[in-house]
Amino acid sequence: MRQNIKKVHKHYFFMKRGQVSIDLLITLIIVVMVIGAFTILLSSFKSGQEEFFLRTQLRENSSTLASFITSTNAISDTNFTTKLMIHNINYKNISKQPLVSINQNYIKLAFETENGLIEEEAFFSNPKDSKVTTNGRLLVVSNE
Amino acid sequence: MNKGQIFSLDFIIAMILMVFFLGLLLSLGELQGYERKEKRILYELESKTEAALISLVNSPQFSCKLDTNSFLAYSFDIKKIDLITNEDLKNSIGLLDYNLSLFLDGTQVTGHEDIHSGKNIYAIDVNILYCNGEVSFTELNNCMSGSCGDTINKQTLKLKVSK
Repeated sequence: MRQNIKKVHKHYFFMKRGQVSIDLLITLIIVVMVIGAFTILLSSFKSGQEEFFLRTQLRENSSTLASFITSTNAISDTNFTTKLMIHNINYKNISKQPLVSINQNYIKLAFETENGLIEEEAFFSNPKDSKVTTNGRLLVVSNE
Repeated sequence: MNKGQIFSLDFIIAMILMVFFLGLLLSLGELQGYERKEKRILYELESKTEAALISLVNSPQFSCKLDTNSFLAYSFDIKKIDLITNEDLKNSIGLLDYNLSLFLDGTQVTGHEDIHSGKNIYAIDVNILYCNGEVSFTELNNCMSGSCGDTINKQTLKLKVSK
């Protein structure tokens, strides 16, 4: 018992008062590394989620617009002009109108991000002799 | 702690628990993402099918024509449908890349019978006026008062769409 007490005293005998032990230093370095790794992991997860959310919005909006255009087939035996508002896209606390392009039977919505342009498209079928255009925030389908 | 020992058992246990809970958190996030993806697919399928149905039963391309040169809303001309392939029909009603089957009163419409197994399916039933070619106004009137003939009849159209 007395010998053990002596040993303990001997171990701390070499450390000066206020000195930081190598054990503590290594632990701190490991903790900082682990926190750093978790932060990188979480931020990449968050950024992945943000892009997924953006793609979902673009896809849903393009699908809604395509369904709207397809539905105009029902009134194609009359002279018509129909309009639908293009909704804004929310991305990282920014709410902005997407870029809209119409190519034959596809409507494409695009949104500019720091990683480049994110695009989603949807197929539609519009009546013969009708035109699909955009006018500001409005999507216009007309055969007049 | 022994001399030269780097990690204490407490620290190792704390790290294991931390990694375990982080993994749990990430897998929960993945699960939520998967659920959202499923919802999005279903929403897309629903809206596409509804738009296709409106086009199919109201568009002059497929609906019944009266001898007065007008088209009947919520009608379905089997003669027009027989003349068109399933691919062309899907193109016309905005269902490209989807599978489509049509049923009239539970009986499959020949030529419009895609396979849906192993896919997300959405189906809508709608009451329509079925006709076989052009219909006269008198025939329509008779059908509305209860005596429908072979050329015009009340039926249920089922639109089955999958992707």
